[in-house]
Amino acid sequence: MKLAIAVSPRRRQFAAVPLQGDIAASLALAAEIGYDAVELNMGHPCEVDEAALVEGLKCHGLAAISIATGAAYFEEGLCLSADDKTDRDRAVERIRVQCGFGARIGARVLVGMMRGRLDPDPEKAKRQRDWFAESLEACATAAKEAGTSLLIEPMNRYETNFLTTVRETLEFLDAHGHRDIALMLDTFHMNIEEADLAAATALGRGRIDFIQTVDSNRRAPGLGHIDFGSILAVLGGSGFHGYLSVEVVPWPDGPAAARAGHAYLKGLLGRLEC
Amino acid sequence: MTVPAGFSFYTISFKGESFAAGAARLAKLGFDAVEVPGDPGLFDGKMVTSVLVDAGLKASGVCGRMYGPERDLSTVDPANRAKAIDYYSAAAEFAGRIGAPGLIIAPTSVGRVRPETSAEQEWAWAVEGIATIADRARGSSVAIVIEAWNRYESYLVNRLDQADQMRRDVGRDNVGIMGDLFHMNVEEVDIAGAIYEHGKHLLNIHFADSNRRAPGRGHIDLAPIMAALKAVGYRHYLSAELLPPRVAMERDRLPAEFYDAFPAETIRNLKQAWNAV
Repeated sequence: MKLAIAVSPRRRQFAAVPLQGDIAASLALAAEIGYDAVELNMGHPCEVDEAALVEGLKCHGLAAISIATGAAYFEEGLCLSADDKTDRDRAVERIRVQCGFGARIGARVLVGMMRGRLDPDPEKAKRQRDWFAESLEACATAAKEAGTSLLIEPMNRYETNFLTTVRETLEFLDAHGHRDIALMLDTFHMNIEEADLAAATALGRGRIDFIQTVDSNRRAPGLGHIDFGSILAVLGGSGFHGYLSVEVVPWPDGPAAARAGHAYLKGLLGRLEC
Repeated sequence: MTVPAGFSFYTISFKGESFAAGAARLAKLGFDAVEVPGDPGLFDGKMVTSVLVDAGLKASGVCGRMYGPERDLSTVDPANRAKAIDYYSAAAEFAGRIGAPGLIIAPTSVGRVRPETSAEQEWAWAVEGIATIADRARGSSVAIVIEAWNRYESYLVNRLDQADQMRRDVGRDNVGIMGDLFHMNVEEVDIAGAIYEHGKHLLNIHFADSNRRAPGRGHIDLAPIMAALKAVGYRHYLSAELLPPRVAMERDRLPAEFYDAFPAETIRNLKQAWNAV
């Protein structure tokens, strides 16, 4: 298993992204610490100079594994289950643009908060689920045409009430025939929603693209109480060779979080021999 | 050998049914007490007292209903802060009327996750407000209990160490703190460790599992937590606050398990875990 770290070209004060702003410096630091890859947190590809990014990744020997798209929801209100078809189309278009960019840099595109939140009224919620399914279909097609694929992340109840567990997310994907969309799991969300983190990881076997190893308090792994050993043992046992990503709050500051996360995971992987 | 005051349950999850029906069911399940919502409609205490007498239950506490700016001790508008203080003072008087030893308060309203001004200023306002509430409750048998919430419900006091710091800053001896395992699972580096370090002034504890369902339905290990409570000499109630993930989506009633199965599992698992260490 290899290690990735989340970076955001823009400063996003409330985001759980350890390295923010000055993408060139973030890439340099990630490489210096020993990370193998980055995952990008951005609302639109225009946040970076693509040529400079590609050059920076190459020069530092880093892969770019994923583009997290939620900033478009929080900052621009783009939502794949919005009431208005025009608004849903705009959200799909954004994912399409992200897919083009993702394909060019070798990254998948992660659908998280852009799925939105379900209305308390059950009939409206059903319509929203159907709208999201429709949007997701268009996004998946766009991803395939661009030459990449989508990931979807179960998130805790405070972020959204729509797809909060591994089981619920897999059931949704299967109901809509999406073997082309894999899961990305975040242990911070799992700590709240899953009755058993290792069992939930096992439930996703074969369908997890990468996992964000975030501790219970959203700090770097090792700074809370999550038992990462048991989760990694399940992943290792299921033939997982993907990335573990440190997408955490910059506590006590970004570089310290990045270093702490790397040191802890390296130590753990060494002890588990994976 | 420390003995808790008893086992209690916060009736907030008995949506859509009368307080009497909920109390009767808790009594039947073997609970010793009920934690009562601080709804102003109940404040004359007559109905609640009568229900408790009929059910043979005590009141373990009153839990404030901290929704909106008028229940926010640290909001920028001084008129709202004053209303919040008045609300909590009335709730403390209600607690006294029904024989509850504590009133649970929080330094912000539910869901205020950012400062309106600065954290330092809002902390100071909260301290001032809690001191006023405590002074008004002086001489009664009701303690003021500061609850820590996870980051999605408040930004100001998320962990026991912060609740205890606020208690110290308030500087009144009728003020204590409480933790809720659902929140602690998110915010504490280690739940049992937090209890060992800051449990001296714990006056209440809300049990729930990691997913806010009944203890035993998630991944929290109760053994070290019960050991820590015993180690700090905890002798107050073991209470529970359980809620489904999508409370807003539950119109008239919560899922069925919240009324019968979960309370039954709660008291069984808490008693077992307490007695096992």
